[in-house]
Amino acid sequence: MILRIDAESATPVYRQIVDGLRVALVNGDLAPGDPLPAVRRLALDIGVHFNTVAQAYRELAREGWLHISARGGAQVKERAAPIAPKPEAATYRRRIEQLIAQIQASGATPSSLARELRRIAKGLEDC
Amino acid sequence: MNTPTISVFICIVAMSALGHFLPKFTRPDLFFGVTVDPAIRNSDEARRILRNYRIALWSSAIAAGTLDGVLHRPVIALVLCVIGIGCAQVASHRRALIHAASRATTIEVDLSAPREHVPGGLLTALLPLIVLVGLGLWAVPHVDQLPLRLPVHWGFSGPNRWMITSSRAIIVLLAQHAFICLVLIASALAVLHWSRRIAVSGPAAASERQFRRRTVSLILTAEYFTILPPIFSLLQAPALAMKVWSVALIVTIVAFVISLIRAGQGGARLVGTGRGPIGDRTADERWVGGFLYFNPTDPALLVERRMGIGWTVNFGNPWSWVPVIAVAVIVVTAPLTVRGGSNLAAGGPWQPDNPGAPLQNKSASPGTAEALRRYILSLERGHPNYEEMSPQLAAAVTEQLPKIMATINRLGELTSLTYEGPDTVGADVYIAAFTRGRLEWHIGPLIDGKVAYRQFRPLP
Repeated sequence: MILRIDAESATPVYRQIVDGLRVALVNGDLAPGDPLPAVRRLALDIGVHFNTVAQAYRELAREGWLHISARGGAQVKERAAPIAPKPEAATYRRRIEQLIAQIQASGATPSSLARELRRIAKGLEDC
Repeated sequence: MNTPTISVFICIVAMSALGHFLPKFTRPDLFFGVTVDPAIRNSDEARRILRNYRIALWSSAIAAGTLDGVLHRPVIALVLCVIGIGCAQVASHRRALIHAASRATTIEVDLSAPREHVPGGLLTALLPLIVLVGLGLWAVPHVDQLPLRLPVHWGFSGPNRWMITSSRAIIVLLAQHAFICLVLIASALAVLHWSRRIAVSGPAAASERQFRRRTVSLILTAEYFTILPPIFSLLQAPALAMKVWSVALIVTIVAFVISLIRAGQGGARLVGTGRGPIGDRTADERWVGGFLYFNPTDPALLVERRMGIGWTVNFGNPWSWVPVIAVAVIVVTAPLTVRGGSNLAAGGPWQPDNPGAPLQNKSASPGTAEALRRYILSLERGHPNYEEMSPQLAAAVTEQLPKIMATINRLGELTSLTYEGPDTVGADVYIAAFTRGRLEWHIGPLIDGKVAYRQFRPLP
């Protein structure tokens, strides 16, 4: 499982770690019981401060994805699927719309974007 | 040529030969510490940079060799050689900068990369420390059964520096070697756990792991070699043991170095093309002169060297200064072990006539003052009076003559010689005052009219 970080992105590195790991967790690339690299190891490999990785792990632990040990290690844990409340669903829709607008603004054509969204939707239906 | 001059000459040739091939050992996409497209290495401009580098390198080597062989200035020659290699590298680094490739902005990390461990487990690394502690626990209570002085340094012809045996001296000796072992263990752990992985996955990552494992094995082997001299000294092993140790050490280091060179920096030669990211995941602008890495925002303690094989510290990380200070401490404290015998100690197993006699009231042994005065005067004339020395002392004086002469020449003429009393083993201690400084001399009783034991150290 490869985690990719864009060093030039405007998105903070800690947010990229959270997003990247969450995608892997949702897709099942990381299964319950799988260990994650220790905070120090991941920070060294990315080249960021330990706190950046620790903050990302803490956020995922708050969401219920990870169990963090006292020695800085992290393990994927079994997580019951939560039911999204209505206001949350609205928030997500707004975020998706914002993201689509951002991608269009960066030059992607609506047709290519629609094609990509259909591919993602199909993947979700197959789950 | 005498022994130190030959040793320095060999060092100069070895360093220059190493420097000659250094650019070949690095990762293919690093050229004189600059991240480049590997194809650049085959360009005319790159060949010109390499040629100029080697011309500068060998020019400084020839100058250093001349200084050493003709003018007998070994220390200055070594310094000149090191500075020459450094300047050649920095100049080549600057020339290579115009070919710098743009840095990859995407960082990839393998979340399922295997965790790496010390070969043989942590106990393998700690065992030498345990042995040293055990040796200390045995030696200190048995200090009265040990010889009056123990060898702590060996030359081509056997021991050439001693320490005067005492519980404190034994503890200091073992503590120094334990400290070196700790530094080596910390280095091994830093290579495994505090350095960055560069290749993400596939054969390149496997080669990198193999390279790290070999390096850690070399460090641990060095740790085992480190503890042998004090063991030989305290257990009074025959002189042959240290000769075998020296040969084994050289063979082992050469074997490991060849193995690492064949693997290439970071195992780059173990895999073909199509490897991971370009460069070594550090920014060119963070490298000073291509060989000093300074990046306060990088948590890594060690990073791969950009010139040559192995790792270097990240000087921007305050914790990286710990090993640097540790090495400095070792260098500074090492002479403490041979205090009183730092510059010259030689002779047979001389024993005081009456070890139980109170030393404080002992007067000077007959003839030592005159013998010492004659010896110093003979040095001032440039011809040591070997006829008044035992064969072993004469051999030691011959070996260390350049150092002794340098000291005497620096201090000027002898103005006075004062008896201070006996040292802890009953040798007479004299303070020799010169026009430009003082020396403390220890001289044992004359045996058949000859000096068998004599040593000195400079006084502030």
